[in-house]
Amino acid sequence: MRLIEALISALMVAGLYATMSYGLALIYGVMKIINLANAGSMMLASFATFFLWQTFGLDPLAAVLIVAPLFFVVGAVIEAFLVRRVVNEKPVISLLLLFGVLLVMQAGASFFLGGDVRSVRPVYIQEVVHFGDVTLAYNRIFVFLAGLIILVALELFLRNTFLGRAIRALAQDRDACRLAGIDVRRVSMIAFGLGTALAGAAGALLTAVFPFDPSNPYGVLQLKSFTIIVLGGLESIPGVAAAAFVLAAAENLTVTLSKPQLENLVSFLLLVVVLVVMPGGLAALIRRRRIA
Amino acid sequence: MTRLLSRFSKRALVIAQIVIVFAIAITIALIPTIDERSFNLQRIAFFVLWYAILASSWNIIGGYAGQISFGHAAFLGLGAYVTGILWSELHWSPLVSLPIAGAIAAAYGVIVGIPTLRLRGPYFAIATIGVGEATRLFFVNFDDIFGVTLTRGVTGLSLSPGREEMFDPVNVLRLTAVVFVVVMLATMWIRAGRFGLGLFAINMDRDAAETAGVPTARLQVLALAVSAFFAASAGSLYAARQQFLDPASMFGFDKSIALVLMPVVGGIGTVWGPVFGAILYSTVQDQITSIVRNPYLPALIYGLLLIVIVIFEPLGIAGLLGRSTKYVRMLVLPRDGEP
Repeated sequence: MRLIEALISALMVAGLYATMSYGLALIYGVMKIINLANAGSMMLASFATFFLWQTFGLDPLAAVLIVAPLFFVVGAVIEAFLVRRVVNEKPVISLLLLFGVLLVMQAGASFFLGGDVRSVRPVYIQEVVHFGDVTLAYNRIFVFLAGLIILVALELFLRNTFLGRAIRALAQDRDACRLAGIDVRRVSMIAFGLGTALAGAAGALLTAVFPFDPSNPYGVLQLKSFTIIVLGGLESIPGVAAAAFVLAAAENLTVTLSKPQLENLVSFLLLVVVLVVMPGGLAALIRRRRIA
Repeated sequence: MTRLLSRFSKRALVIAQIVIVFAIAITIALIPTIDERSFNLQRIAFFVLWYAILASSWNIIGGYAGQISFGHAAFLGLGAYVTGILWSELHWSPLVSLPIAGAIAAAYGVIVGIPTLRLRGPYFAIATIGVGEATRLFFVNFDDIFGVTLTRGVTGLSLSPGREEMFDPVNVLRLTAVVFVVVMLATMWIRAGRFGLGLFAINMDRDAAETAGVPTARLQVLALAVSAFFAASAGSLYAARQQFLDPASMFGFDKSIALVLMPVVGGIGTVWGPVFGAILYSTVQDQITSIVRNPYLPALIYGLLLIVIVIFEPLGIAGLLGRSTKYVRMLVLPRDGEP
């Protein structure tokens, strides 16, 4: 019974994990750049949500609708002024640049806003619902549903709109896109903005479940989202969603069956195992099955 | 005439660089002899050399091979802890445990490197973030996991020295100067030789290097092992000097940031860049804590500096100096067009 409860609770957290990783996968797909500033945008979005809640009493879930567009602009600006200059350089350069951006975000937040741990406490934070023997907190259900809606909307956007198709085309072949008349610079900017907006949405959702502080970007969450995209196969959105669940389940089972301190080791061990056993991630595994 | 000059100057350049390395090391090693009471200067000198060793070791994998490590503090901390544990359990002198610590860290580097450096793309950089964090957690929880008392978790490990000579700060400073010379000669040798050529080839175009017969994966793993060895020896030196280790200071995020920052600010992939970066970083670090109270300001400045350097002068201080005169350029940027 504890096992089932752990798995369901993992599914709920997976909504958050997936949301924070889509942006990373999207930006990597289009620009072949690892957005190290991803978790930094997420942390700043958590702060924005916190202030919206504190000032206007706005619910974190509703705040997504304000914070995500805001961070679309942030991402587009970062792309236009910084990332665009290094996109054709060696990968080292973009990693260092975005590491600098992460440092500025993190140290800037600590410097101007203080290093305290903050938490948003919406009215339903204590409420739970019972399904038979399984007890679930409302905020986790809401976050899961929000993550699910974002997944579906993102897939629909990428499959059915011109812009979405252009983004997917760009992920496949940059030069062919240029030949086909796609404005590569503009679409890159939009993709980076969209990726950052997704990080922003994740940051807003995060506040409904976890307390946060400016130092969280580097360590744990960053590592988790990287593990997820490597496991998901770096570019596939459904792969990311599946990987988010795998990681959340592995973590929850570790906490349930073993020591809670080991929770954060799980994501690292999973990362190494995936790199050794199946470098292409889940997506490559599924593809291989299909061919065979 | 010009050809003669260039052939002559190539060898002269190497000799000049070696002379500079020895001059720096000997000058610093002599500080305690000249003025026995110059404790503050000795401390600063130790940390300049110490950071230079660390930055140069990072530069071998990050600068030469172009594989950025965001968790290099793992190797530093591993070296420090091996020395600390060997002293507190077996009373082995840091002089003996320094190469052992290096070898263990190198082996750890190989274990990390084999799965991650074999792949293309950003896998290594991603994995190092995990390596840094996991190693820190491992050392925090080590005693809990194995039910022993070795690392003493977050409380830290104290190396009560007794009358061991190797814990005298003056001796540690001299040993650091020796390690500095070894590291500098090693990076110069790597940069000039086939090994470095292979690493640069991988850095520029991995496919082309592979086609030309460069064993790309093996060279990169070897570079990481060498890099880890030197980073761990710096850890040993720290353990011998400070005689106290805790996971937060050894495996901390600030150490990993510093290790990326110094070579990049100084001049990534150049021999002297890491040294410039180390001088800048240790002086700023030394001054800033006494001037500004806010502990977050340095990281903010470093982040901005990193962005500015990557955008405007990818070769950092070495690149800036190289613009001044031809001779300085030959000294700090030995070959044109390379990182």
